[in-house]
Amino acid sequence: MVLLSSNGIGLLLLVVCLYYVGCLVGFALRFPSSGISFFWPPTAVLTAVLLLTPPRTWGFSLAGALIAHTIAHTQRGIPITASSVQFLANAVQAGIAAWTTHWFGAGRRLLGDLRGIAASIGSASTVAPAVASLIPAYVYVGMGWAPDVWQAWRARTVSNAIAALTLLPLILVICGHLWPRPSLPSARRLGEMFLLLLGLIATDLIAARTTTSAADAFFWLYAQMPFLLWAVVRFGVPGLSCALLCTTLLTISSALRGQHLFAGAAPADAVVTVQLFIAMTAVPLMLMAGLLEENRTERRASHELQQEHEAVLRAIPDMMFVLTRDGVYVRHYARSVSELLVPPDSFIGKNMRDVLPTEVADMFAGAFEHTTPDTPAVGEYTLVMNGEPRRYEARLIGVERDRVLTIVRDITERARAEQALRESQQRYALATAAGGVGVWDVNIATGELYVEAGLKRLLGYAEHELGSQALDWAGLVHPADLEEVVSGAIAAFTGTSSGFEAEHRVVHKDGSIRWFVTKGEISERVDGRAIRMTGTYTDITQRNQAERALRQANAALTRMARITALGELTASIAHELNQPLCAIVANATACLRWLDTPTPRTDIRGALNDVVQDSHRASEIVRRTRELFTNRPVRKRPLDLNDAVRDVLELAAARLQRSDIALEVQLDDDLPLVNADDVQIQQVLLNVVLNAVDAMRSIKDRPRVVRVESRRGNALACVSVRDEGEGFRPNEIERVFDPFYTTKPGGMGIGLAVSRAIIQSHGGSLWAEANDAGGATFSFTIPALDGQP
Amino acid sequence: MSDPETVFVVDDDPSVRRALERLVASVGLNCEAFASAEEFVRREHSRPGCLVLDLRMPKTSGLDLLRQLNQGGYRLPVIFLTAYGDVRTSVAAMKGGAVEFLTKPFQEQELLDAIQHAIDRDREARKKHDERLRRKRQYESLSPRERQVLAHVVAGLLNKQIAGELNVSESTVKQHRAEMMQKMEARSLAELVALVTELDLNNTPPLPEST
Repeated sequence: MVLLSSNGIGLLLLVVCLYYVGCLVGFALRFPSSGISFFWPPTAVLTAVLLLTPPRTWGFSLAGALIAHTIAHTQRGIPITASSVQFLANAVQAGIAAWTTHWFGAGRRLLGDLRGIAASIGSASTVAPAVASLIPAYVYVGMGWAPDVWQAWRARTVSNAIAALTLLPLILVICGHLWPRPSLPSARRLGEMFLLLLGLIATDLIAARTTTSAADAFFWLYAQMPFLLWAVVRFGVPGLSCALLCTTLLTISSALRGQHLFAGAAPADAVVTVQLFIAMTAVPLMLMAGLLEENRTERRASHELQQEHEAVLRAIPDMMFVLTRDGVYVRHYARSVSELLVPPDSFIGKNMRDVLPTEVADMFAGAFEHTTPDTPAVGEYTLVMNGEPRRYEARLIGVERDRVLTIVRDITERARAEQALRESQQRYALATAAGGVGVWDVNIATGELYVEAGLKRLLGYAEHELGSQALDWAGLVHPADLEEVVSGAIAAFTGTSSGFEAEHRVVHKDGSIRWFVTKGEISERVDGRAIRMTGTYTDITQRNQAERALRQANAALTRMARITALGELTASIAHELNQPLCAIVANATACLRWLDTPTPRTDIRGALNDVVQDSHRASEIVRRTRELFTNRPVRKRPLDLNDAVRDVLELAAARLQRSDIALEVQLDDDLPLVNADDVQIQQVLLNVVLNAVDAMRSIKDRPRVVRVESRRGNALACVSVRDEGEGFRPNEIERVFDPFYTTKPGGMGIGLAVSRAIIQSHGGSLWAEANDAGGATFSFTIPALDGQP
Repeated sequence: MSDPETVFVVDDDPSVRRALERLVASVGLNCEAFASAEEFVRREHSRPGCLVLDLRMPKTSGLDLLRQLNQGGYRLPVIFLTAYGDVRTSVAAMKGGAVEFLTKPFQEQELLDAIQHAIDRDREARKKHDERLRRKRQYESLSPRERQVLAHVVAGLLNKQIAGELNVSESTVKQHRAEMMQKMEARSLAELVALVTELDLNNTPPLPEST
C-alpha cells in the first residue's frame, strides 16, 4: 500500500478493485426490498486505504472509490442522485475516520495500544458513521428504503460501524503482516484460529435450529462470548476482528435466510438487534484487547530489559549480594558457585555474621550503617578460599531504606601486582638513591625530559634550577662531547642505529667535570616514527679515575719490564752497535791512509760505500733500541710478526752467542698481518727469548739450541720460542705467568705477567708448554687483521 | 825474512772483515780474511804474521780457536777484537796468550800498532825458534861421549874431574870438550851454559848412559 502510494494510478486501480468487491459483498447482504445493506465493507476498505497512505495521495484513492462506486451502483440501477449522496457519505465517513484516527493516534502504531484502539473505535466505528449517515438517511427515506429517517440513519450507521469494527482492524493487521516484511503466523496459531471460528459457526448453527424463545436467543447470543474472549486473549485485536466478522456474517446470512433468533420480529429488525449487540460487545472487547496488547508490549519490554541486565551481570567479573541492613542475605549473583565462600543454599536467608569471619562481618556491619543510595561505601578484606588467602574489594550502596547492594571484586592479582610494584619501586629507589645511576625518559616530539631527582643534586643544582626540557640538559654536556652525544641521539631517533650509547663529560655547577655513560633506546613508536626514548645514565667519574690510575700503573710496569729486559741485552746491543762502528772507523781510516799515498787504491769507493751502509746499520740499531726505551703511547697498526722476530733476534744475537746458544729460525713467509703495537710485541718476544737463554744456562751436556718459529693459524698468526733448557718444575707451568713469580736470581717476576697482559690486550693468548724432550716452548697468537684468512 | 808477514783476520761480520782487510792493506801489509775459525783452521796457520780474531762468532768462538791453536803447539800472536768486552772474557783471552785485547770500535792506530807489535813478536819468536832448532840440531850432532862431557862441563866439573867421572884421560876429555865446543859454536863456558839452558835439556830425553 505504501509502495503503491508512490504510484498514483496503481493506487487508484487497486482502490477501484477493492471498493468494487466491497460493493458486491455489501449488495449481497441486504434484503432485495431495501437499499440498505446490513454490512457495508466499501467504506471500511476506503478508510483502511486512507489510513495506510499519506494524505497527499488521498485524491487517487477517492477517485478510485468514486469510479468503483458509480460502476457498482449503476449496475444495480440505483439512481445517480442516491448513489452520489451515498458516495459522498462514504467519502466523508472515511475521511473523518482517517483524519481523526491519525489525529488521535499521532506517532503510534495503528491499533498498537489502548489509545490507538480507542481512537479507531471512537472515530472510525462511531463518530464517522454517525455523522456521515445523516444525509443518506433522508435520501433512503425518499427512496422508500426505510420507513423513517431514524431507522434509515440507524441501519446505515450500524452497518458501517460493524464493518469498521470488524473489517478495518483485519485489513490493517493483514497489511501489517505483509508490509514491510511478510510474516505469517505459525501453523499452530492458524489451527487454533480455525478451531475458534469452527466453534463460532457451530454455535450459530445450533442456535438457529434450537431457538424458540427470546430467552433462548439471548442465551445463544452470549454463547458466543467465550469464543470472542478466547480470540481477545489469544489473538488480540486481529483475532477479535476476525471472530466478530465471522459472527456478523453468520448472523446476517441466517437472517437473510429467515432463520433468525428473534422469531416473530421482522428479519431486518432482528439483524439490527444482533448488530447492535455485536457492536456493544465489540467495544469493550476491543478495549480489552488493547489493554492486553499494551500489557504484552510492556512485558516484552521488561523481559528485554531483564535480559540486558543479565547480560551486563554476566559480562562483569564481580559478584553481587543483596542484603538487608541487618545483614541477612536476600539474593546473590555470581558467575560460578566456585567463586563463593559457601554454596548459595548455605547463606541465602542467613545473617552474614553466621557466614563470614567476624572481622569481615564487623566491617560490613559498620559500612551498612552509613551507606545510602547516594553515598556508596568501599572496603577491602581478605578471605581464605580453598586454603589460599584472597583479597576482595566490596562496594556497598543502599538500594532502598532497608536493603544494601554489595558488589564484590576479587583483587588478589591486583593486590599482588601492587605489592610487587611497591617492592620494585623500593628496590629501584634504593638503587638510584645515591644518584649515580638512574633512568631518563624523553618525549622526542615535545623535547620534554624526565630524569631522576638525584641527578640534579649530583650535578650541584637545586630542584627548581633546571628545566624539564632536553635542551636544558644538553647545555650541561661538556662542549667537546656535545656533538658526539647529539649525533648519537639523532641516529637513534631516525633509526640509523638501534640504540644510543655515549661516554661523555658533564659539567658540574661548580665547573668540575664528571664522567657519565648514557644509554638509550627507542621505547615508543607511532607509524614507525620514534616518539619516545628511554635510557639510563651512570656516573663513572670515580671508575674513570681508578681506570686511569690503573692504566698508568700498568704502563709504568710494562715499561719497567721492558727496560729490565733491555738491561739484560745491553751487552748484546752494544755488540750489535759496535760492529758497524768498528767497520766504519776501519774503512774510513784505510781511506785516509790511501789518500796520503801517491797512488791511491781504487777500493776507496768500496770502502766509502761500506761506511755509508754501516752508518745506516748503526742508526737503525739505535732507532730500534731507542724505541724500546722510549715511553710512547700504545700504537697499533698492521704488523708482520716476522719483522718483529727478526728485529728482536738481531738485538739478542750477541747475547745468544755469548751464552753459546745456537739459534734456529723458521719464519713462515705466508704469515698474516696483525693489528699490533710493534714495540709491545718486541717486548714480549724479548722476554720469551731471554727466558729461553736463562733456562739453558746450566745445560752443559747437550747443545744449547733456541728455536724460533712463526706460522699461520686459523685467522691468526702464531709465534713460538722453544728451548732445550731445564723445563718446568712440577706445577710450575701454571705459575710462570703469575706476577712476581721468578726462578732467576735477581729477577722481578714481571716479564711474563706483563707479556701475557700485552698479548691479551691484542686479543691473543700467550701460553707455555713443556717439551717431551725437555725444555719449554712459549707460544703466542694474535688474531689476523680483518679481511685476512 | 824469507816470507812476508801476513795479517790473518777472522770475523763473521763481512762488513767488519772487509774494513779490516782494507785497513791492513792501507799500511802495506798482506791480509787474508776468514769468515769463521773453521775456515781459518782449514786454510792456513804456518805462515808468519799475526791473527786478528773476533771474540764472538757463531759455532767456534775466538777463544776456542785460540785454545785449539795452542794445543797445536805453534802459535801465531793473536789480537782479540770484541764489540763489548767484559773482564771475564778479557782475562780468559790474555791467559790464552793473546797479545792484545781491543774493544770495537778501536783507534785504528791502536790496532795497527798492535798488529805491528804482534808481527814483531812473531818474527822474534820465529827467530828464537829457528835458533833453538839450530842449537838442537847442533846438540843432536854431538857424539854420546861429547854429550856426557857437555853435561859435566855445564855442571861445573873440571876436566880432571870429568876424566875421573868418565874414566878416561884428561887429554881425551880436553879433545872431546874442544870438539863439543866447536860443534855447539860456543866460545866460552858461559855461552855454553846459556845455550844448554835455552835448550832445556831437562825436557829432552835423558842422555844415554855411557857403559
